[in-house]
Amino acid sequence: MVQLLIKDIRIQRRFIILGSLFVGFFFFALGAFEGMPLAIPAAFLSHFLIVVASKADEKNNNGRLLASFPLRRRDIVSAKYVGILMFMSIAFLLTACWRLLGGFVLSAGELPWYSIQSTLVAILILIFFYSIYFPLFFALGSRIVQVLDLIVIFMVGGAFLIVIRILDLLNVNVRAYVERILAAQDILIFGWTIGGSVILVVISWYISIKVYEMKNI
Amino acid sequence: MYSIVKVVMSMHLSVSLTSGEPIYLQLKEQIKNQILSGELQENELLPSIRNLAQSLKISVITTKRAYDDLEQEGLVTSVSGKGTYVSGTNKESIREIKYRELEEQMKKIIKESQALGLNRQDLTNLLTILYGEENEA
Amino acid sequence: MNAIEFRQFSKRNGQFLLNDLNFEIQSGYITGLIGPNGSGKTTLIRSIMNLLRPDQGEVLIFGQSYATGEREIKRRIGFVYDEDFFYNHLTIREMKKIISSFYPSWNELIFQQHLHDFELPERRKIRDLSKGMKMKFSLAAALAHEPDLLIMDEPTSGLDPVFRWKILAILSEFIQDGKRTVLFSTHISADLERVADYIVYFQKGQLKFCGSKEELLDVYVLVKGPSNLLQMSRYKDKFMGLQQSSLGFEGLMMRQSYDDHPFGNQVTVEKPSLDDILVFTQEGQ
Repeated sequence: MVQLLIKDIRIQRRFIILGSLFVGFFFFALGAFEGMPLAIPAAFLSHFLIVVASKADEKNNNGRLLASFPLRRRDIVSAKYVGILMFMSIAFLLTACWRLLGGFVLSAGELPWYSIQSTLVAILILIFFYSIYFPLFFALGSRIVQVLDLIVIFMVGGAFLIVIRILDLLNVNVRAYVERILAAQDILIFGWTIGGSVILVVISWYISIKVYEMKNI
Repeated sequence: MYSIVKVVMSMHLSVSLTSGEPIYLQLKEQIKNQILSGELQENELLPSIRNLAQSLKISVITTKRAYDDLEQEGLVTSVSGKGTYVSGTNKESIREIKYRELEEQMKKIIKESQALGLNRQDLTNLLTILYGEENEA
Repeated sequence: MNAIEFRQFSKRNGQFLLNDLNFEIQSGYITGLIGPNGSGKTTLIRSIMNLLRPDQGEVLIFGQSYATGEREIKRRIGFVYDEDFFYNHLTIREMKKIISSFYPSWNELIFQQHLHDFELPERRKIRDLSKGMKMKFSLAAALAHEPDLLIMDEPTSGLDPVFRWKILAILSEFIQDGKRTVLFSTHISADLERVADYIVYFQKGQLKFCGSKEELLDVYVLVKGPSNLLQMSRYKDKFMGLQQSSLGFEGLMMRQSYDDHPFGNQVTVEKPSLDDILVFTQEGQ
């Protein structure tokens, strides 16, 4: 599986460079994301590396090539999931580097750093997204990968809005709930979110493996 | 240590894919002629069927068929693990084989001349004329 | 041992069905998989590579099932596909690094030798290669990990005759030790005509023939003659794919049927080529 991860880095190399230059550009052009938590550009870079770069790569039906190599289907799937972790780390690291760089050039005090809350929320959202994205990716293949992320965003966004609407109709005070959650102790939130996302990823991982093992490529 | 002695065969063989004659037959005839003419000597080692197939870029099964047929006619012997050798036939048997082939050819000629309407005398006359020309040539 | 074995194998793929296939591909020989486009050849190859899962039955490679040893099996298979599935923005060198990472038996020396032989520039991007060069690269990579089974799907379409000849030489050499196997699918049968040992012939998902090439070419004769002979003959329906024109007729017949000499010597009788058999048996459908 390590070879698969290395392969992804080799393929994405140009996107890693491109993406980080982009972030760097915005750092200096927009005055280092004033007021914006660092997690946001990091999250975008993450998304870019994981999803957008895969799109460019899958255009050529590469799945067929990969499945012909001496690899088990489950290894191919697992490499993608571990890849999420890997690319997220790379993205957050690179963004931090730009921040450090920025610190030398611009006045240090104004630059934001990673705040626990925003980072957590960003990662959560990404993980939630990928947990839905990847089983679909493995089920439907390269035909649909070009638009899959948009589909998932609309699906999730739509579902979210529908839920809010329903709660509204039931006269549930969503705002109160949210405020209560945010006011609760950090450790608890931390625990629940980490736990929740781990469970989500594991379920998604399992589904993806099952789906891909059955797939005709 | 080991010393490997390689018997390098330089045989002249060529096959035509367009002549309509089966390739295994072409091979068989060429090898047979070379044996009968003495070009290939007794107990000489022939190339392996795979080797031959590779050199000519043809099927292994084709070369095998040619060798099998030659073995049936007693012209070669295959020793498992070692290869295929030209049979140790002596001059007498080669002559016998050639004689028999000549007989077959003459039978064919006789048949054809009959189809043309020639009788035995006509044929003998023809033979005499051609033989005479041959001698003068 | 058989290199590939199909046992009660069934697979529905779109329009047609491969149904209850039982046949083997022998080790140590070159087997040609022939048939018109859409006859099931590619489905068969994908099934051999475990890209497609059977609806019923199984495929055994080297006597093993994919369920128990997918990686071991695939390490011994070198494949060359028709479409190109490479990462186009990478160079040959970069692509090679990726491919070689999956095969423990990768032999860099052999790969370099082939690159040199095929005149492939290592630093060129794959998208800048012609179709022929991509195929050559595929072949170099497939041979570099010293596989026991080489599978090629339509490898010679798009190649110049010089290289097609070279491939035949490479394949002949590949099976020299009698232990390695080649499976070569094509609809250009001139190439196979020469070097194939066995033929597997498919048409519309059905196995029409599986045996040695010699056998296949012996089974039929190609009969040509003047049209008037045909009208009177009761042998007319023994023909397959009869072609008639103002100049005469041409048709394929089983050799056994012909042995009764139905036409005397007013016709020419030839040994058919693989192409003839393909064309005429299809016409007869």
